Parts: sequence; C-alpha cells; structure tokens
Amino acid sequence: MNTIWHATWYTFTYLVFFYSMALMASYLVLVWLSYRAQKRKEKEVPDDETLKYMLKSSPLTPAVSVIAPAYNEQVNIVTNVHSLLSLEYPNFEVIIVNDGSKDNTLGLLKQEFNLEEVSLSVEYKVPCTRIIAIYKSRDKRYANLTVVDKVNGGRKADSSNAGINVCQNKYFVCTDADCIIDPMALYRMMWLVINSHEPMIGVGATMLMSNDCDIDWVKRQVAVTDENKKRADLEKKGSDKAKEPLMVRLFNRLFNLPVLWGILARFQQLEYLRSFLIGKLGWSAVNSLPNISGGFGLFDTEVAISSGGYDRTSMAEDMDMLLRMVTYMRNNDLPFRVGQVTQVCCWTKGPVSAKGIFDQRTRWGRGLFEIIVNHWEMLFRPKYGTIGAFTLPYLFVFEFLAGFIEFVGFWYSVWLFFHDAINWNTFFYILGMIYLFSVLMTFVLIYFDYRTKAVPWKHRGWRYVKFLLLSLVEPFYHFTIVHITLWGYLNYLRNKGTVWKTIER
Amino acid sequence: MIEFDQISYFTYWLSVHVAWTVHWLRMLRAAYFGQPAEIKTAIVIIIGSVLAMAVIVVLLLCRALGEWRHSRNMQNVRSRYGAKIDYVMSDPDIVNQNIGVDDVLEIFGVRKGINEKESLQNARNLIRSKRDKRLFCQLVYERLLGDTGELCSLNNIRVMLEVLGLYRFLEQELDHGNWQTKVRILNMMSVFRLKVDSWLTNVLLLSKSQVVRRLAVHASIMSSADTKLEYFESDTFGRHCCIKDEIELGYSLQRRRAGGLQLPNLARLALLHDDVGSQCIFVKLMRYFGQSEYCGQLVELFRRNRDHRLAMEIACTWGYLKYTDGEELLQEALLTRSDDVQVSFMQALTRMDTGRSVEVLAGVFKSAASNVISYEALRCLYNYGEAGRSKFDELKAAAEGTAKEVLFTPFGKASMEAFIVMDKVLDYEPTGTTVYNVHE
Repeated sequence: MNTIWHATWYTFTYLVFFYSMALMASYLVLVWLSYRAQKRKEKEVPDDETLKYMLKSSPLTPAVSVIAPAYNEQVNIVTNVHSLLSLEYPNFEVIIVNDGSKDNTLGLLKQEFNLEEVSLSVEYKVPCTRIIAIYKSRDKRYANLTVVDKVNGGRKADSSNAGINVCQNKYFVCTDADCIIDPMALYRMMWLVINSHEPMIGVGATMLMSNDCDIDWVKRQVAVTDENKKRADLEKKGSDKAKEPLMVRLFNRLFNLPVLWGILARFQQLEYLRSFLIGKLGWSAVNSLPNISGGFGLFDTEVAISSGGYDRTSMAEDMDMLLRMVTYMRNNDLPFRVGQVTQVCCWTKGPVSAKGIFDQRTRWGRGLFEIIVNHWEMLFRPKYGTIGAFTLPYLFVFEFLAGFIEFVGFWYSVWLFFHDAINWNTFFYILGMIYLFSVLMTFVLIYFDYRTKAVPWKHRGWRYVKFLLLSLVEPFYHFTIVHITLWGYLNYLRNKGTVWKTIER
Repeated sequence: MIEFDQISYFTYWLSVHVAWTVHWLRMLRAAYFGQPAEIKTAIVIIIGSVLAMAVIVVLLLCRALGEWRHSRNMQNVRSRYGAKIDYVMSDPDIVNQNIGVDDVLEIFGVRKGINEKESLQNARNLIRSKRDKRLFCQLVYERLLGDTGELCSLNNIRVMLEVLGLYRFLEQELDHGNWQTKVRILNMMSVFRLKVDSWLTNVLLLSKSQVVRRLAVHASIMSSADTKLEYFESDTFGRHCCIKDEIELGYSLQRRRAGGLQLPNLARLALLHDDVGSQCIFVKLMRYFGQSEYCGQLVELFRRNRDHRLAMEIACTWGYLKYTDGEELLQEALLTRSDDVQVSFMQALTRMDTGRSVEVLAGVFKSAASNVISYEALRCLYNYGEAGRSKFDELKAAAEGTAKEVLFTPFGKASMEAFIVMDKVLDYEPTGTTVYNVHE
C-alpha cells in the first residue's frame, strides 16, 4: 500500500514539475507573440495626433455608441456622464441605461441635461427587461446623449442588452458609468477596426486601476468622485453608523486598514498590466483573444445581436458573449478578427479591502468555471480556430486547473515539512527557479510598458522600482488568490452567489 | 609611456582573475553535472532568467538614453526656434496676412544678402544639421495638430518652410529615407498642405511598403489635376480595400474639393469594380459629395447586383440626392427584399418626397408580416409630408385593437401600457433579419 502511495505521489510530483515547465514555456510564447503584436502596431498605428487629425477630417468616420449602465449612481452620475460626453471622437452617442435605480439617478440626469421623453420605438433584438421610456436632451450641446429608463433586470448584462436594443450605430462600446475613460480611447479602438482587412467583431483595451494611479487628470476625477461619495456618506452617517454593534465596527475596521489599500491595489495593478500587456496582446497577435473586459470593450452591433447579446444569467457575461460571437462567425464561415489596444484606455476603481477582493475573485472563479462548462464543446476543436484549438485549452489547463494543482502542491509541501520529508536541495532550486521566472516576467512587463508607453505614468522609474519590489513578495498574494478562486469554483458547484450585489469599488 | 613593470603587473592581475573565473566555472560545472535532471533544468532556467533580466536592463537603459538624447535635442530646437515658429504660425498680428520672404528672414534673424538668391541661401544655412531640420519640422507638425492648430496660418507655414529650405529637405527625405521616414514625411506634407511633386509620387507609388503606397495615392488625390486617378480603377484597390480606405478617400477627396480641384466620377469607379466593398465605398462617397448628376449610372448596378449592402447604399444615395427617376425601381423591388433592405428603400422613397409613394408605403404597412416593417412604413408616412400625414391619419382611424395601440401610439407620448402591450406582441423575439443571415 505504501509503495502504491509513494508511486502515486512520485508521479504526481513529476507531473507538477512538467506542468510548471509547460506553463513557463507558454508564458515565453505569449511574451514573444506580444512582442510581435507591438512591432506590428508600431508599423500600423500612427501617433495620437495624426490619428485624431485623420479621423476627425473624414466625413466617413464610423459612428460609435457608448453604452453605460447605471444603478443607484446618484452620487456620481452627473460627473460621469459629463466625462463620457467629453470623449474625443467626431461621431458618437452616449446611452445611459438607468436600471430601475431606487435613488434619484434619473431625476438628477433629467435636471442636469434638460431631458424630455421621446417617442422612439424599441425593437427587443436581445432580451432585456421592459424599457419604460427613452429620454433625449432639449439642449443641443447634449444632442448625442440618450437616457434609457428600464425596469430593474438585476444584472449589468440586462442593462447592456437594453443599450444594444436602443443603439443606432454599427459599433458599440460597453463600459461602466463610473469608469474613467481616456479621451483618445475611441480613436485608438476604431483605428484597429478601420485598419483591419477582416471585419473586426471586438476590440479590447488595456484597463488599469484608478486607485494606484499617479496621472494627474485621472487622480482629479477620482478625487471628485470620492468627494461626492464622502459627502453622501456623511449625510447618512449620523443615523446608521452609531447603531452598528461594536464587534461589527471593529471587524470592518480590521478589513479596511489603510495599510492594505496601497499594497492590494498595487498587486492588482501588476496583475492587470501583466494580463493585458503580455497575455491579451499575445493572444490578439494570433487572433485568439478569448476575453474583452466588460469595463471597456468595443463590439460589432450586428454580430452581438446575432449571437444573442449578453447572457443575463452569466457571471462572466463579457467573455461569454465574445465566445458566442466567435462561435457564430465560425459556424457561418465568416472571417473576423478580435483586436487589443496596447495603450491604457480606461481606469476603474478596484476593491481595496480584503473583503472586496474576496468577493471579486470569488465571482471571477465562478465565472471561469461557468465559461468552461458552457463552452465545453469549443475546447480542442480546430473548427473554432485558434481560440478553440489553443486559447480555451490553455485557459482550461493553465488557468482553471492551475488552482487545484497549486493548492494541492502547496499543502503537500506543508505536509512534507511537518513530516520532515522535504529534500531541501531540490526544494530551494525549484523555488528559486519559479521565483526568478516570475521576477523575469515583471522585468518583461516593465520593458513592454516602457517600449509602448502603454501607461503614461508620471514617475515612471519609481513606478518600475515598486513593481520589482512587489514582485518579490507577490507569491504570498498569489497563493491567497488561488484559495479564493477555488472558493469561487465551490460556489459554482453549490450554485451560490447567483444574485448580483453591489460590489465595493 | 607604458613601463615594463606596468605591463607585467597587468599580466599578473589578468592571469589571477582568469584563473579564479576558470576555478569557479569548474566548480559550477561539477555542481551542475552532479545533479538530477530536474535540478539541472532549474539551474538552466535560473541562469537564463538572470541573463534575460540583465539583457532587459541593458535594453531599457539604451532606450532611455536614446529618448533622453532625443528630448534634449528637441528642447534645444524648441528653445532656439520655438518662439519664432509660434509667432509665424499663430501670432494675431500676422496670422491673417500672407508673409513674404523678407518677413521670414527678419523673424529668424537671417542676414540679408546682396540679392534674393543670396538671402535665400543664408536662410537655408540657418539650420545646418539634418537632425535639427527633422526636429524643426516635427515641432511645426505637433503645433499644427495641437489644440491651437485651427488658429494657425497654413500659408505662413508653407512660406516659412520654403524659405528655410525645409520643403526641399522633406522631398529629399521622401526620396532617400526608409519607409518609416517616408510615412512620417507624407503625413507631415499632407497636414502642411504641401504638394508632392508628381515624379516623386510616381516613385512612391512603386514602394514596397503598402502604407507608403497608400499615402502616396492620397497625396496625389489631393494635388493632381487629373481626375482619372488610375489607382482607383485598378484591381489592387478592390482586393486590398478596408474601412480605412473609405475614410482616407473621404478625407482626401474632401481636401481635393476644398483645394478647388474637380472630383472624379465616383459612379464610374463603382461600375469599374466587381467587389461589393469597393462599390459600396464609391456609392457612399457619391452621397457625401452630392454627385447627383451621376445617379443614373447606378441604375445598371442596382439591377445587376443583388447584394443587400450595395442595394441599401444605392437606395440611400438616391434618397439623399433626390434621384426621383429611381423611385419606380425602388417601389418594384420593395417587397422582394429582406427587412433591412426594405426599411432602407422606404426611407429613400420618403426622402425623395414626390408624393407618388404614399400608396406604396400604405400597401407595405397593410401587407407586412413583421411589426417592425409595419412600424417603419408608418414612420415613413408620418415623415412624408402632407400627403403622407393624411394617409397616416386615415390608417390610424381604420386600425383597431392591439395594432392601433402597439403601432400608432408611439407617435404620441408613450405610456407604460402601450409598451406593455408591445412587449407581449414582440415577445422578446427579433422580428427582422440581420445583414448576416440574409440569403439572397
């Protein structure tokens, strides 16, 4: 029995070793693909000013609809809508979808933008709850603003579908009302669309966290929204806070310690940058991008409608919709591309407390499990192109299964430690290998960021030093995330967490 | 002079260090070869990672150094010429005047010669190095594309560049530079509205780089008096065209028209091509540039080509340009096409506004299987004018029950109940076909 046990664990350790080798090799491949994508973009994409000049001067620049769902956003909705309306692009409309807000979101919009109800008929091309009314502004300055009031659908996906039903243009961008969008974002995304010889069905953009941002104009916008929120909280403070039991107050304070805010935001910043500049850019080079972030992504309206729009029951509705669009195009033998913009186009406020991260990563874990199950038929199928043949299998093996393997590997090592059975020589070499490789990835990330100027950091050098220091302690953060992700898988299996709740930003 | 003692000391120092290095390498080799396979792999990856990090650091430093030098050079040019460039480009005193050679010489402090030729020679020698010339042009380009670009005087910029010999410099760069330089210069010359000589354009049209060829084509559109524009008649355009061609062509033709040059016959170009993509581009551009005199040439295209995209573009163009001779064709084809195409035809008939299509639209309303088409027919009647509005009222009076509530009510102020009824009728099912699943 002991022999079988030892043989099993021996085989398992070797499998884990080869798995790590394969994972590292796949990262190197992604780095190379990302580098190729950057070289191609240097060739094809002009500088911002030339891009703006060219697209602004032509009468045929395609129009874009910017759809932003809003639920109980009275604190910041006016600021956010003004920010969306100030995007630099010659021809776009902004569609704000008020998802049955219980507060005064719609009232504030009506007052600020001088809205009146209009008689526009809506065809429900993709499912959503009933649209109550559509508003346009009497003020010519806001002629490109449309506000849709609808019955609450419980999910962002439902509001996004309502926006798709109302939008008039060939392309739409789905974003959150509280995201800070770079003024040049639409230019950069549309450049990929117009420059592609195959129809571009989706374009993703690099997103970063506004929490840990040193860019002045982003910090100013964040400060305005924080100030608004603080003012709203102060109005409520007197009545509710005092009634909280002491232990609840202490518990909340523990999980919201200021020291956690900075380092958690920075870890997430590093993760986001690695994911966008290496992962997504690499996949886009071989037309295999599996996911466009729901925070800011551009889609072809017709293809999105033909593939059914956003799935209102999904936890990963953004990835799910893109995979269905790819399936639709493949099933109909239509050529297509999915692109990725290198530069940062959108800043979003991420969770800074442990509880916030826990909720977010549980949701993401659940979403990944759901995607694998719902799109199982695409895995290892060349019929679905490189996405089916490589990208989804990669996600399954190196993202989905990685959680289990790392979990078992970590606790097995702990067990060996307590049984004094660790071969310390091997242990340190392997640990050193993985550690140095992850630091190397951070170096590569820094090089790519510097090369492409993807993020217009103010203090670039100091920012890179921080990244390097963070990468030295990142393994501890990573193992915590692995455990949280597994909890998300468990939630999927138990069918828990199906209700969309307000996520702390 | 190097002493013999110094040589022998150096030799001793070198041999000691080489011996130590060899000793350590031997130890490492012994340590490496004594290990199991997985450790060897780990060691290789560790050493590889460290080397790769070192290479990345070196690359970063080289880049940073290059950028620092570029910004320092740019700063030098800016400090020497920035204020003068701003003055020429956008000073309120001279922006509305056309400055001459003497003005430029005075602004830039160039010594006047005995005659104009000598003065110009002195001006050309003001900026000597190629690097400074490039940076000067870059500075003007950035200022022109910046926030205050619209206030700048293009004429003054052109005179300044010519007097300082930079126009000739740009042409030389175009002739001898690599493809990236050519792209940059072509973009600059397009923004400065400088004409590229036809002999140079012909050379650029034969460039290996597709980007350069495309920019050269647009340079020729904006400046060539010839309206034939052979490139657009060739198969090359049709095979490689994308949305960007449409946008760039629109931009170039707009600039051509603004320059007072005649536009080509876009309908003829549409007929010359077989691929629908190119045809749609030319028909769309006809609409934007108001070439109503050539609408008749699209009849043949409309009849022989069944593609829904082209049919929609032609209908839209006829509608906007009020080509009433096409009305009958649209009426005949109306009920034989898919929903999206029908909607586009109805909108075109409405824009033509001859009064002859009112009954046709009413017929579509009565016979349509889809609520969307019925609603669109009503909307076209509503917007048609007097005849259409009276027909609309007639149909509304005759309508009953659900149809009346669902289809006619949105023309007034929408009420919750009307939308509830509409939801039930539509039942979340799309009632129209999209362009991707139309089979014609």
